[in-house]
Amino acid sequence: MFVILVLSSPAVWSRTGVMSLLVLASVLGIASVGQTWAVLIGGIDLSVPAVIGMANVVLATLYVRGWPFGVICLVLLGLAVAVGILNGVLSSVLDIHPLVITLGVGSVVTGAVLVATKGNTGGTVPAFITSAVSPVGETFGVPVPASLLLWIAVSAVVLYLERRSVLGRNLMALGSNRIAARLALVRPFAVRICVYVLSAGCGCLAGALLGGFSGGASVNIGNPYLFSTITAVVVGGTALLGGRGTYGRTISGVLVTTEFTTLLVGRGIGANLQQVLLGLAILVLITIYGRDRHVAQRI
Amino acid sequence: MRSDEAQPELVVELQDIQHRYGPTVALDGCRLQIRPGEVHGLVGENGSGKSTVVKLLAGVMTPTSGTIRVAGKTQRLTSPAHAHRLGIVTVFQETLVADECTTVENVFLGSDGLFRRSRSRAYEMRAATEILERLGLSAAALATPPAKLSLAERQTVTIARALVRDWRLLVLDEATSALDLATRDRLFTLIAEHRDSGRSVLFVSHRMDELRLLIDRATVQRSGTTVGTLDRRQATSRRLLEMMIGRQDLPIAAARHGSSGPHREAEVVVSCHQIALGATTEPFDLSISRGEVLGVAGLDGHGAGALLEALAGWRAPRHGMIEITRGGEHHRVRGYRDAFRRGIAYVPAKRQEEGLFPALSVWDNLAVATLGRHSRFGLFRTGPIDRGVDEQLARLGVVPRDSATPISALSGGNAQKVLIGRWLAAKPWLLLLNDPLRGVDLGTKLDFYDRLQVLAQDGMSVVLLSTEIEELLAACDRVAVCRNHAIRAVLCGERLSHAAILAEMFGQPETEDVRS
Repeated sequence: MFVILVLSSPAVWSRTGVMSLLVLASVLGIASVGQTWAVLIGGIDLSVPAVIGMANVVLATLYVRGWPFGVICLVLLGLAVAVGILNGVLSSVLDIHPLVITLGVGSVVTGAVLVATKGNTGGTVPAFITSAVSPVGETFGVPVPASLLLWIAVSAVVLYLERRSVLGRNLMALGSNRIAARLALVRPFAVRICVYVLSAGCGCLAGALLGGFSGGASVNIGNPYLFSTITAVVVGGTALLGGRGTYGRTISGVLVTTEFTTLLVGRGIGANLQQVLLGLAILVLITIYGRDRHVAQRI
Repeated sequence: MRSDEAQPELVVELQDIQHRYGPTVALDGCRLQIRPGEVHGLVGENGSGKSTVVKLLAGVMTPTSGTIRVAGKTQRLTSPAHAHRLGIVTVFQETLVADECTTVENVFLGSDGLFRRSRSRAYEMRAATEILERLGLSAAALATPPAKLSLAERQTVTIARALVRDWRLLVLDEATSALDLATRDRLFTLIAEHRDSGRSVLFVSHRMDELRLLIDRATVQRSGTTVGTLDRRQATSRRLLEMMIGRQDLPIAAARHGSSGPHREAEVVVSCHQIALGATTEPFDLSISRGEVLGVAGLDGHGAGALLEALAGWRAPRHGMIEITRGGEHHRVRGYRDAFRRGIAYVPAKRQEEGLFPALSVWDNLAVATLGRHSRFGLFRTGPIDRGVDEQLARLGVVPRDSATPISALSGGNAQKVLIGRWLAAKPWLLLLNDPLRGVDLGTKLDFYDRLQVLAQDGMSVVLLSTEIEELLAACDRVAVCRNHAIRAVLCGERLSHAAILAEMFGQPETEDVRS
């Protein structure tokens, strides 16, 4: 994939080219953490774009009013926890598929942001966020953008949690067989809340980073991430039925998806045709290696 | 019988089949010949490749190498639908019923196209009703949503689903293990009729009595290889077991009669005071002693399963109290998690639905319930867990021993061992087993009875629910018999016998006689 990309648009094969690719990938990668876990427990999180937009607007709006950055982070964290708990509680208590719940919660979040800001979602973001997503950015003297380092750190923590934490193994069990999981002392309620809180938290982080690209804010900035996070998860090979997969697979899914998009942009293909080709690519990839043998085994 | 090479009269023939799951060789040198109008038994221990043969015939998988002939023609069975078209229908051990459909719809599930019914609804209703009635399912059961049916009734539905097809070969893979005796007998009558009309049945079962009753010939599998085929006269239980195990010296006599020494006046660890399992059922008392193996018997749907679920704290009894006594202290069980924390472990009955995590490894399946015990701040230490997993795999004799294997690659019996290991790893003092040996071979069973005795001698109490009376006699000190959701008798010592358990299960024989 990468080779094709380089061959077709040699400009990518430069330090800046590779770095800008990785910066794009890092935002998508961070946004896909929660999506991966939500899919692993047999759910899905459609509120990701709304949370990204919320974080983006809240950060810019409050920063322009002169709030200290630390306080803004706490506010975002609080909002993320609230959205996550809302998703987790509603999908457990109402026993409705998270597809519906998270879509509704996302809509509420976007609406609430617009109401709170009276539709005036402008603002600015701190300069260090802009430099964090700059392909030529440095972090403490190291010539690597901070957002990439952040993604690596987040990935390391998530992969460690998947392998070595009770939560990590329990979410695989819950996704694999709900009834057996309850009988095996897994707490579905607690696991769901953890997953959706993590998802909202990562959404906030991605939203804050996205602010660095535009310098301003928009409540709709997260919209492309509804499709692209799910794409990254599925292309990575995590089964949409739950229980089978890891964030490690999503990382490769993120890289492939980002490269593919960059390739299309590099060939001068318009946004609409990009959508068509991306959709086709997903279908092809899923046919090749996303097939779930498990269903066939059970007839 | 002709012995020339081409045998066109064979319904199905497997020739030199080899099948691998990745590096694991499940079948090697497998041969099977099924004649028209015969009931053919397929026997072998867990992991001997029976289930693989069944899956190959059902079209779930295609063999790595070797030939499958159907009615004399070489075929590649690429899908279950393909196998159906060739007249091979299969009933699996797992009771796969779609809860969203009605019971009647379940009978014809998969027979129709996606948009078009091949038959009228009236015809389907009539045919489904007829076949279910012949199998002994009441009209009331037909109107019941499948989710509310008992395990035996669900299995009956899956069998009916196969019987309504236009079939030449019916494959029954442990499909009788959940049936009650009356339904089983009705099924056997049906099978005999079909056989006389020239159809064939491949009957996979661990129950020697059933095999003896039904089969015309039997093929024996041992560790993936076909050992041989016997006809009805040769196929005695003893001969079959010898071929399965590959030894002459059989531990068959080890089926010791429960009384392992004089009955101990041991301390009572669980006492049920006047508990009632249903709203209107009779309350009863029950006490369980330290270090005893208590059997629970009862016809399906008569409260034996509900009793275990109550003891496990999974479903509270309608009335009454369950009290546990540990180290002189008394506690009431408050729900499932509380019961587990206090040392009560429950192995559920439906392996696929309630036990296994099909997507995960043996390690995950075994360690899932005990991860929390070895963890701090939600992070667990792998050392003690790995040791615990390896210890259980070794003690229970799980094949393969590698805990990284996906659980879906294990045979049914080995998967069941992993499930039991999950709960033994929690080191409980009360182990509740809900029909754990359903569809498990005899060798494993004998091993397991020994394990239970060892555990009991170490002070663990075991409650074993089983649908097989012989199993209860072999493994238990006392047997509680349930009828109409209450315990009718607790049999032990002299009074513990096959006949006594049956009599209590069905009610007093005198009343039965009056009706007949």
